[in-house]
Amino acid sequence: MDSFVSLFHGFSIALQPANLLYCLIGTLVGTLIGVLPGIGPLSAIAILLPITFYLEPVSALIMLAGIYYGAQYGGSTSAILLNLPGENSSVVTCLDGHQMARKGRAGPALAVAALASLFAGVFATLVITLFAPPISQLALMFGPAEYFSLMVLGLIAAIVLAHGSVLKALGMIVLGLLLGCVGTDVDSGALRMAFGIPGLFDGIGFIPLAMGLFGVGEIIRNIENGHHQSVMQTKVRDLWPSREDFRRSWPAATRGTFIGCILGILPGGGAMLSSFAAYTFEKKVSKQPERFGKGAVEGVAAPEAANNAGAQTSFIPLLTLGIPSNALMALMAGALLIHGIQPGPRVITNNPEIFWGLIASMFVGNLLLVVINLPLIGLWTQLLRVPYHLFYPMILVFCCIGVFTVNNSVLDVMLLMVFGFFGYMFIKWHCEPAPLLLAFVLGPLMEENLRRAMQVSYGDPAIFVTRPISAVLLAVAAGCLVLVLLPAFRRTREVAFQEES
Amino acid sequence: MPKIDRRDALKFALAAPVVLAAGRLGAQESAGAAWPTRPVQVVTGFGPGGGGDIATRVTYQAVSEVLKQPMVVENRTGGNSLVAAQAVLSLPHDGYAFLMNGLQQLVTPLLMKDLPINFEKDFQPVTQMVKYPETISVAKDSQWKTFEELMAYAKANPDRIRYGTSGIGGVPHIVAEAIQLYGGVKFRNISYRVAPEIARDVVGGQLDLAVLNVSTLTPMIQADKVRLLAVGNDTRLEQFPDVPTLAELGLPKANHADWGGIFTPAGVSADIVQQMQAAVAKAAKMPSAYDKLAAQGTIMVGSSTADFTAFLANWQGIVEEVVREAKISL
Repeated sequence: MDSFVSLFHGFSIALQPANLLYCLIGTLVGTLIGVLPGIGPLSAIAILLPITFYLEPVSALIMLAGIYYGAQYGGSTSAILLNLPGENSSVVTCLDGHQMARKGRAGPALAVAALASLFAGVFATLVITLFAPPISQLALMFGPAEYFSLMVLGLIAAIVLAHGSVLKALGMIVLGLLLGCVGTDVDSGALRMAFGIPGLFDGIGFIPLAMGLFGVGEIIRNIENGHHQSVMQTKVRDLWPSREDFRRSWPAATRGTFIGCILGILPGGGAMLSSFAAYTFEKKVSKQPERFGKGAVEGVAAPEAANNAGAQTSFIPLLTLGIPSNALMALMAGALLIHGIQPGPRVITNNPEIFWGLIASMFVGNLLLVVINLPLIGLWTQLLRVPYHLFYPMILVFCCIGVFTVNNSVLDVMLLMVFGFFGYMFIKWHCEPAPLLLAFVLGPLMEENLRRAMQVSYGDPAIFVTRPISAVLLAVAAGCLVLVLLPAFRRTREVAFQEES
Repeated sequence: MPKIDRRDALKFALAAPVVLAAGRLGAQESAGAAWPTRPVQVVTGFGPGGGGDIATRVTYQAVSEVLKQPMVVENRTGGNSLVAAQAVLSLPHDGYAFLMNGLQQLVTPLLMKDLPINFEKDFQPVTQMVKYPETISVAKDSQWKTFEELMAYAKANPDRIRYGTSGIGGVPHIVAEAIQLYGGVKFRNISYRVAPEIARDVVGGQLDLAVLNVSTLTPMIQADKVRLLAVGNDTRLEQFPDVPTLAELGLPKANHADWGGIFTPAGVSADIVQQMQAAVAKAAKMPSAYDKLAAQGTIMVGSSTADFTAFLANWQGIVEEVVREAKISL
């Protein structure tokens, strides 16, 4: 029960007027940059990092954390309304969320996303409170072999994720893997497919790729189709989720939360993998998998819950082991280091006000997010009524500005346009861009960890099956593969495919 | 951006009489008292939140107090610091743009062919900003209790000891190569993208040995999960008085600390270089900055430009030899 006493102490810090204000500022800024395409939390936090010099460390961290999970939430707004994934975790939300919006159900989609995030946020906070030190050990148990097996599982799941032809899904995965190869090879330092352009030495950016394939491609398609009235195909039907929506959403959100909590702890692909995994899992357990991709409310609730839960549990390795689990957590570490506080095991004992204040602020922040966002739903849905010929130039301008600000790179804007064209072609060819993006993110990690695992084991591939966690992950992956190849399962896929076309 | 230029011109016009008056009074430290009249940009190739970035931000926060102008730190990652260097060179060479870089400044030209810029000719050194001592460490439950035991095992079992490195041509990598080269052993090199993952995998038992900047390893030291066998620094570290330096262990040519320094494009006046050097040196003596960085093991330096130039020449010899002998290539 010590944890709860400490958490109570944390609330006394998080609820101080000044900290409450920074929490509000953080969640507001986060929501805003999440909604604006391209400007992700990474660039926003990098910009705001110097400002934290002038704040108390705990206030600084509360504000930056607010931006982080605020942006996770705000990102789903532009994903649902405009099919623009501003964040890699909101790629999955595009799949069903935008379909709901096109059917006039943007309101319920946004509300479900908000409530699922709140539920996941509160639950993940409890998990951190109770189990942070013991589960941090999980991060240490994951070595190269385990990461490789996890990525294999993720890619196999990507085939299940796609509806339509298995062959096309496979093709998109291969394309994603190839695009992921661009840049400097970690092991030898050799450049691959960079064509001597320094901007490509670190690979193609995720943001131009994702926004091009989804957002810009969709815009070109809409213009071609003569959707000149608005984004929606039908009238706004309702603003608030129906009883049926709630009934379908809450088990999905619960499962998504569990998946997110676990994957968030693992350094590396955490957040994105968690939303993909939650979506795939939901599709698997659903009695009507054919509804997915056409506006299934579970397809919004599960990944949204997963990515928010993952966003919060990803603080665990940083605060307990000093290992940042992703680039964003590295920035959070920087915010602490600037104040001379070393993130790591001593934070809980030496700076309990920071640890528990931050955790309590997540509780408060998630509540604030819902308070901020629920009233905005009406406004957002109104936005969709703007005539499309006025709307799309604005979206394009915001996309270009957003992409440019990430690296101050004109090259990225050009890539956005190139991938936008590809996105359009993929729609024409009925190819799903989601598996491509997953492969693009996982591919380099998978390659790195495969090579690392083989070096660690002195070239013995048995490492993947002799290490228990790795073996289990591979077994699950094999199970998924069998399911895909099973004739009965294939039949249902074909039915789904025919219904669609 | 003509608008900004005009505004700056205006500012300069407003500031000029004041400066002239001040100059006449002889109250200013030097003839170039007109610098800086507007914010100064410091570009680094180190990503936000990393050791190099934090060191730059803390130092330049203090420098901005010394020079009474904001110092804007900007991260331009990529291409082994090439992107950041190009960004600085693309700005006017008027003393308002500086580059914070590490050993990449010397190693990138050795390893990469056909560079669009010439690091040596296009830049001039200003000062060594910080140094980061290196640590050679193993997991707490490792079979090796001392550096000698580790080396004896490595001699008997070539290519068995697995060590992690991030960044080809970085100081930790050069130190590890030098230990092998001059210690007559062969480790198994496993590449990582970021240094904290190496610390994680040493503790998790995936790796046998880590050569890391002390700041990266600090959390693991605090958690009592690693054992330090040696440090790379000219003296033993205050916080670990029992851990010998590599020089004491008979490897003086591997005994190096990592560093970060300030450069500015060639052609910037010697006067501005001298003022920036003085400001960094002054910042290095400010406890508000020094203590913050010292808490994670980073030591502020602020050496004179002449010392830094000699320091770089010395390093040039070190890396050329190690790169050649150890056959490091991209």
